[in-house]
Amino acid sequence: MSDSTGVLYVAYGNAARKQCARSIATLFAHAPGINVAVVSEQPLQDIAHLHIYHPEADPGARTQKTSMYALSPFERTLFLDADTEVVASPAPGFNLLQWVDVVIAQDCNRRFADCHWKHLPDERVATLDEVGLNGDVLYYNSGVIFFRRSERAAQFFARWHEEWQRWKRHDQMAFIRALQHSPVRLAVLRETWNTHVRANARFVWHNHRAAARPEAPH
Amino acid sequence: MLPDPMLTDAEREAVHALLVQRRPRRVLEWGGGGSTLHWPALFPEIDWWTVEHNPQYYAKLQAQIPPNVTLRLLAFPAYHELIVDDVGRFDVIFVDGRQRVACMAAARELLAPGGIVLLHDASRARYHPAWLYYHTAQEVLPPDPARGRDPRGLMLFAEPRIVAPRPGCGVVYMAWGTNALYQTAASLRSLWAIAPELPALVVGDTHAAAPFSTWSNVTALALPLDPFDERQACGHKFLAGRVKTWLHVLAPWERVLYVDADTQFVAHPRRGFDLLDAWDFVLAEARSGSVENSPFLKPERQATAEWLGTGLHLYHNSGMLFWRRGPAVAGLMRLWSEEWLRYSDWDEQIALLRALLRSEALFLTVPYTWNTLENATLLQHAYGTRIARREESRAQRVARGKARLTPDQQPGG
Repeated sequence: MSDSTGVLYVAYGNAARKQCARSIATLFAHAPGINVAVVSEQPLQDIAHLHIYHPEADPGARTQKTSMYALSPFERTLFLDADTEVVASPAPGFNLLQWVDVVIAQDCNRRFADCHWKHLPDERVATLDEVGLNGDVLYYNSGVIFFRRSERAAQFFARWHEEWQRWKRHDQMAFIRALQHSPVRLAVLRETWNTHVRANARFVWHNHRAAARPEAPH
Repeated sequence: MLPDPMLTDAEREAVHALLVQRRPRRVLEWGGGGSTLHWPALFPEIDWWTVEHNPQYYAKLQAQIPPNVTLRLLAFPAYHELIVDDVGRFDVIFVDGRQRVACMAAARELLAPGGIVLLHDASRARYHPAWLYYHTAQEVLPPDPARGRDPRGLMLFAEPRIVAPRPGCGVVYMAWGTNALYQTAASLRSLWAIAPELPALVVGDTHAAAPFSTWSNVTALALPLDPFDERQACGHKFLAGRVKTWLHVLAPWERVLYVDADTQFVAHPRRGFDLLDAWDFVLAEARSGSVENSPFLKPERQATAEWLGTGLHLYHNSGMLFWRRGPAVAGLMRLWSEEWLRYSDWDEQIALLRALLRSEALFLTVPYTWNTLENATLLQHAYGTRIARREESRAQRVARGKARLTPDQQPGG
């Protein structure tokens, strides 16, 4: 992988930085020497990485996460949530970027219609209304995203950030609203690519919310 | 002595007879060679144009061509993107080079009134889609089985089929054989119960397509293509990839929905047509599985997984395809045909995934629920049951009478 390829993390708070360091260690086991950049209010200790300083903005750090396109120093980026463990090489994801703008896995809820959050009624209702189709659209897990630089991708990620800012809660709902307005060429992988079931994980085991702070939105 | 064209004796005689009989003023030839030197020297009154892609071959020919030959070296895609303002019209077009299907498509616009196109090696399955571009297809010389794996064959095409784009939306079906005929009729009835305004196009063999010619709001198109492969196992003889990948050529509407015959509409397809405001192509994921873990066509799946770098990419069910007419989809469909021809098997869906990735089209994958066996949100699809593709033998198909739909199967009946 060339220098313009790398992995981007966002990690705010001690728990997230600890998780991030752990994730990077698992990443290096499968992709030794790959470039790593971490967006945080302070650098990680004892790990080779590029520190990208960005002031803290919201408890869930979604301001930075949804700005991943703008913050990434790489041409081809793998974004990883801090609460992930890498169990295989990221090379297949980067390979897919030769044909598409974004590579992402399906969420364990395959359709938006199947997602129910009691604590997010307003955003869910509005998203259902805007996306239409009674929510009969694919739903994606935004914790692991490969993307490349392109005009389409730039527009999509800018829109994602904008959509997230409307409620500042759930970035995955914002993702599908953004996709509706700013289409990108998308490769969709099955859930086992990025799953919270450790035994099934093929690329990433996602220990959801292990890095979250108590005040972060679900 | 004149150099020989790379044709069999019988082919050479047939071409010679056609040139004598038709006395063309202008001839275009895709793929230069012995013919570029042979025929123009024999018929010096013909204004002969040859398009070649290979620079070395071009240089060799250039040193020898008779004065009535215009020889052009063109790389792809310019090779098959000739336009009439640039080269004029031709009375005879001989397609014997590379990218023959694309050349056959382009030839439609370059033919003079009453002109003909000759396709060499017409028996090759990968050239069969070219037949869709013409109303008339006639065998000049049948393929010669004695030639083994490449029996060649020479076909003459006339009356180009140029589908004028029409605004609005329409639905396309593919129907070969009696089962598909009845399934298509049932699906159309379910469509019109919900969306009576939508026109349809039924493409198939004469037996299946002809009954629809009396239906209002349906265009029936009988094609000379045979999508059956008798060498395949029972249940897998129908090769949809031979036809499905070219339906965009025949569908006139701005926005098109293709559906398999064994479907029932449970909602208005407007939901998919509307998505084409932003997307070129919309299709549903397969209900389960990924490239690596379906039980059939292992070699193709394994090769595709290796090419992708992962077997976890979802793949699609090609029984429901929405598209927006335009160059992105035309390019996608060309790639689909190309990818399907690599394996030419009964399942065209993995080839579609490879084509989607290689194309420039903006495609959206929607959930399987759009197009599934139970609790569908748009199409109840009896896939896997082979209800519409139960095969008859070739002899049965040939011997089959002219089945007609009964009155109660007509819309509103």
